[in-house]
Amino acid sequence: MKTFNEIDLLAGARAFDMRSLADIYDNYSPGLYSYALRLLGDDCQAEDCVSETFSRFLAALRNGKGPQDHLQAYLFRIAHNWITDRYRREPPPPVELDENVPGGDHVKTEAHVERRQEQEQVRLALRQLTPDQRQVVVLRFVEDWDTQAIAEALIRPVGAIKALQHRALEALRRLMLTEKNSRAKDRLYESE
Amino acid sequence: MSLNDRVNDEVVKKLAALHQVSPRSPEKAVIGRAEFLKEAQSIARTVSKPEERRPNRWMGALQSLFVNSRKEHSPMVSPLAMILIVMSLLFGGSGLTVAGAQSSLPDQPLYGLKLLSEEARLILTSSAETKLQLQLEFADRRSSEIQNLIEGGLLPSDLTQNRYQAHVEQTLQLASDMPEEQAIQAMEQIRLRLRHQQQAFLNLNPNTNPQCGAVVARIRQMLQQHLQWVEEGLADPVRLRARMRQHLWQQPQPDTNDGATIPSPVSITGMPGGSGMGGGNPWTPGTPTPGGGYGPGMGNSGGMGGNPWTEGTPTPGSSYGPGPGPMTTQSGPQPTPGMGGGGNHH
Repeated sequence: MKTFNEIDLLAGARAFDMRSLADIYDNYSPGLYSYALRLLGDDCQAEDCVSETFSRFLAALRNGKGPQDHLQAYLFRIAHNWITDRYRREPPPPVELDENVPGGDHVKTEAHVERRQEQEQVRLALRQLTPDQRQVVVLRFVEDWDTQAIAEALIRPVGAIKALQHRALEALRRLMLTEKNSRAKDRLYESE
Repeated sequence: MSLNDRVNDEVVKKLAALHQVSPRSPEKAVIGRAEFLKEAQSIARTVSKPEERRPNRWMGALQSLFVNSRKEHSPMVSPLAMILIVMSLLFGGSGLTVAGAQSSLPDQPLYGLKLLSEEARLILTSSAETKLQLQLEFADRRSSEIQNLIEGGLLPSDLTQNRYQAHVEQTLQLASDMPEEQAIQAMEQIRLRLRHQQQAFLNLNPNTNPQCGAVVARIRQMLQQHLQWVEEGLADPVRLRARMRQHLWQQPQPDTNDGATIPSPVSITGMPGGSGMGGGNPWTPGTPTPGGGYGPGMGNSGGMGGNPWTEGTPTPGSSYGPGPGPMTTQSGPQPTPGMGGGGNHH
């Protein structure tokens, strides 16, 4: 059970109280790691993202900056910006089609491979959204944040968040349906 | 449901594929946490401005034996490592004994060594900021030790309780002596720590030993009083400085009858250093100091008079004077002669 609220933790963090900073890391790093892993698909990169997020947080505190409140939103914003930079620097990885499945439980492995492929395809589609659209749709439908919390993360009004969400879903629909149609055509050609 | 909504649902279902991700490696989580805290400590050292004091001759000689004279702080000789070396040379035996003592409780043989190593760490630092961090750490330790004893059905001794209070008061003293900006930062840290400790004692259930209930009540009240001082200090640091100076003038000389050199100020229990003298304040005969733990009540009942810091009517909720203070404790503990005796005290 969390004993102190974000305001107290932030006050401690600004004073460089080690216990407060440890509490902040313990409270928020798991969520940040999951968020980064979902978008990046790689655990090492997700760890890098978490590490860099907290490092930037400390740098802001050292310079007398950092958030006055909404700490979680602030940290997720840093992580989101880092991931966006990573997307810009690196091309998307190819979606692996593991045809040679090692021995063992064939059905279970096939399901695992299919799930991974599906995840990669979703990530590919998300990468093609604008950064704000991507953050809105991931926080809303993957991290299950409510609209108000997302508005705090993006420092935008709730109305703007809803508009972003609508445009993001439209874009994903086009991307995923296009991809779906393309794969359906590929399967059709293979069967002929 | 419209076609649009159905398609959106399909998109949302696809996004749900990202829900399932592999869990974080516990080892990497621990490493990440440690690196974060290490970076934070490094920044904290550069942010605070430690008072540079020229060490006296024997301290300088002692330090020069074990501390790098280079400007850069050597990671090879941490303060605790230095203590271990000094203890080994002074007392013989392995420094591992000192290291092993760090987790001991007041009822254990190595506890005295633990206190001595704490004292040594305080002596070997000249920085007010570092001293503050040490006093905060030691207050945390005393708090944990008392809780552990109570949870084990053992009654913490007056000495242990007084040490706890001494560390808490030292943090306020150090904060009050700092420049205003640093003082505010320090008091924010103190407030957080005291709240942590206060919460721990509020959650503590002393049912295993009835006498422990009184101890817990006194400690809660002590913490509440000091938290109030911190709040006042955050609103007006000058006032805290004046309060601490006035408080200090009323303190006895450090009580060394137990071998520990940490000063034993106005005690929680009304007993100076466990000497067994009960009753009123032995050092200032006459009117007890309100909130000092001497005389009837701890200040929130019994009406021992007004707030000594402000002439006139007591401040509501200040725990001075009649009426309920901020704590719900019904009546303050009465110092009882011979409280240090009987029972299983540690």
